[in-house]
Amino acid sequence: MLDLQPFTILFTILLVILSKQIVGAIGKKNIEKLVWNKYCSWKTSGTTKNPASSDDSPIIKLAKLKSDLTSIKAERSKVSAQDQYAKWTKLNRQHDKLEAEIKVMNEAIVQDEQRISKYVGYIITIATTIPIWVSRVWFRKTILFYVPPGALPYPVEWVLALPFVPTGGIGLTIWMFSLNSVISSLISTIQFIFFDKKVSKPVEEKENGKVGKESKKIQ
Amino acid sequence: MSMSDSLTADEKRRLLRERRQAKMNAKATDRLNTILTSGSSVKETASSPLDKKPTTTEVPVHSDAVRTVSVPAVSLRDDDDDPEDVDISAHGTPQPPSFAGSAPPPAEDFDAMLNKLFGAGPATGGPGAGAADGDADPFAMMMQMLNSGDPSGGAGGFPAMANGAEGVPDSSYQAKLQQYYAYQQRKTKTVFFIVRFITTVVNFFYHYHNSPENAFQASSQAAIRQFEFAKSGFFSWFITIEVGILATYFFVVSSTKYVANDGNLILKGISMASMFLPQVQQYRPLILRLLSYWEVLGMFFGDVALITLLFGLTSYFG
Repeated sequence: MLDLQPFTILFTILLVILSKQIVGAIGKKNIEKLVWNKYCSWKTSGTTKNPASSDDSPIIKLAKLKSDLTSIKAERSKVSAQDQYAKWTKLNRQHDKLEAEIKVMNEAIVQDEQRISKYVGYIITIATTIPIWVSRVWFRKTILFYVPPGALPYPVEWVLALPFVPTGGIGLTIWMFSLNSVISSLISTIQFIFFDKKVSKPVEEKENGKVGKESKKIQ
Repeated sequence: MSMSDSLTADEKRRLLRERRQAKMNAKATDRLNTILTSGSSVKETASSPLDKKPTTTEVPVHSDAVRTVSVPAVSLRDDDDDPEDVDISAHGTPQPPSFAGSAPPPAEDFDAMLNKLFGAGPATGGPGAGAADGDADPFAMMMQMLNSGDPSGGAGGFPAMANGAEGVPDSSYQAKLQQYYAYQQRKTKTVFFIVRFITTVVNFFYHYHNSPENAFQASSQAAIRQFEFAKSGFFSWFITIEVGILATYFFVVSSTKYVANDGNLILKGISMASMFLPQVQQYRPLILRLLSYWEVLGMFFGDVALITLLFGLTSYFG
């Protein structure tokens, strides 16, 4: 059972750790929001493709209700409560009814969103955490590959063979450590180069009232 | 019944009023004191003005005869007359309730209170009793520490921070300066990482392509360990390049004042501990140096990890 080739294990662990680091860099909440937005657009596009369908998605219904509420509010503000009391009262009742419906629909959508987020969280956990723990237990003594003799000094080979593998071989522990180290360094480098804002040196304001220039550029 | 018939409406009203007044006057002081003492703010008793001897005045009644009646000095039921002016000069602003029966501490004792709390004053006899004169106010030190994690500036650090008395703009400038230092530190690390990455990868693939047969090929087969190959100069070159790069990095970081300390737990722990044990501060430069050595060592291990990764990926062809 689970008799995999060493390179298969090596490559699988590489993919798992890479995805785990990417999820960590992007942020689990951001991924959940992204999935939720895709789900909403998928739902709404399914409805627009078939306008004759009476089964509107809750999101479209909510949008309709909100636009109705806005128009009723505008109409009610134009009507004087003293001069046209009956009409104002009727609009007010419609407004309150719509507000109550919107509140109920909002709650339903929030529950839907929480359900989607929960499933996304489960998928992320299954994809990034469970394989690592299973591998640590099942393949802890598997030798993934051997370093060519003479390429590295014996003390370095001895350290890289820790904890369960004979000298010259590389086990899962050291492979995971290497992957985590290199991938996290690469990700932080990419983040710094492409996503971090440049910070210029601030200039202290003079005490005699002259205002110093503060050159804080934001790219 | 004959009595009530003989009295006119006015007289009936007058009698009722007098009876009411008499009833109020009888226990006015007691009722007043009950109201006043029901709370805890007023401990004094008072006497109701209703109990004072009423002055006599002439009140014309419906008949021509002038009748003298007793009217209290202050009529609470007479809405037409203005109430007498009450002299309140004797009554001061009520004091707030004091728990210990003493006045609240003045503002200048606030510093002494803080000193006692943080043990820097001799009154508690605590470990901070021997605080030197040169030490900053502990409250200001704490604020500086929370802002920067480095109240004393550190080895090769930025200019000494002003105390809290200089106000907000200075701390805002210091915060921006810290941000700038942190950015510069990250930039330096990123540049050196890119250099190390490129040199290691180039070195590896040079020897991978130029080594004879499988002398530099990793493999999942254990048989590869039985062969004897001529030693490649890969690790020698690797060590030489690493020493050069890491020494340059260490020199660059030591010679600049780009010290952003707020990420380091050890330094924060030392700052906290120095508030109670000032002698801990003297180890700060040593700890900073050890931390910088540890950082360089971490970079070396990271490059060894990169070599392991490259061997692992090329083991597919072995």
